[in-house]
Amino acid sequence: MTQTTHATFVIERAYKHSPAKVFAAWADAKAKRAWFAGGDAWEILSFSFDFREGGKEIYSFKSVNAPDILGNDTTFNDIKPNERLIFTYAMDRNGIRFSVSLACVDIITAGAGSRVIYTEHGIFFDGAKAAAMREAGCSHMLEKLNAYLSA
Amino acid sequence: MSAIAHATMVLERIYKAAPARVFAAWESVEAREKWAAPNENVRVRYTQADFREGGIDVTHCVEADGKTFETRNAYLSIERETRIVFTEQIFREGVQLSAAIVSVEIAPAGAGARQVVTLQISSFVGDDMVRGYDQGWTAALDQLAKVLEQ
Repeated sequence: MTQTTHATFVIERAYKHSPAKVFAAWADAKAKRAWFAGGDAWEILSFSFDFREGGKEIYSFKSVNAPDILGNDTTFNDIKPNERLIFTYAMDRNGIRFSVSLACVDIITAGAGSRVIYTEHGIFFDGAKAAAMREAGCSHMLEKLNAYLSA
Repeated sequence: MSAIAHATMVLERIYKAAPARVFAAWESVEAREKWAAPNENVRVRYTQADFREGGIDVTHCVEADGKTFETRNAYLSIERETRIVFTEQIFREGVQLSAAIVSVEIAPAGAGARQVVTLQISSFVGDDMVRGYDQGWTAALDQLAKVLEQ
């Protein structure tokens, strides 16, 4: 049997920003590149973004501290503006696929701001630790989104 | 306010066929049209088939009363005789009902094969869809056993 790990995790965040503003950060190429792909110690090598149902976001990047080239190949499956975004994505390390995921971003009005429920169903091909690392990575990503919105 | 129902299901089967034959039954559109229908009142027809990483299949699943579901599958990882991973979106009249990620793991087991199918499902129309997955896939994998024994 291949060494695959299946995992599902849910991360909830409250933002002070309206659902429209939160959604726009996922839907706009410049915004998405700024808060999601960029920042920290990551270098973006290529980035393409076609935000529509069936459209793709494809980018490659590397850590400034390691030689590995990482790739993210995303397909947008279902888009309900200001409410919901469903996408699937595969990740590669030096051309070898190491995970495939289905992600749901639920954006709910909460007072003057919003509540985001991020659910990811993932399949990880390279060991049991990968799922926990992904969850930590996504948690960090949602913090970056908050920082971007609040800037 | 949207509410998405999430579920995970694991369906394990032992087949009296080598991994190569089990894999071939997933690879072949002709074989899949036979076993993917949960019962004889349902017809599964492929309008597009492209079994390779990055490839997309589109099927129409027609029930006895004429009710039609469209599925769109995107293959994201294929390791021959070992692993197939794809996403599956199900639509009725152009409205998406669910999205799921399906992994098929195949390994030798004695003279046959052990197959583990894991379904990770996000339903946009509530728990009924999750029950539908359970019934549909359970029946299909039993049909697969029959196809392999022919």
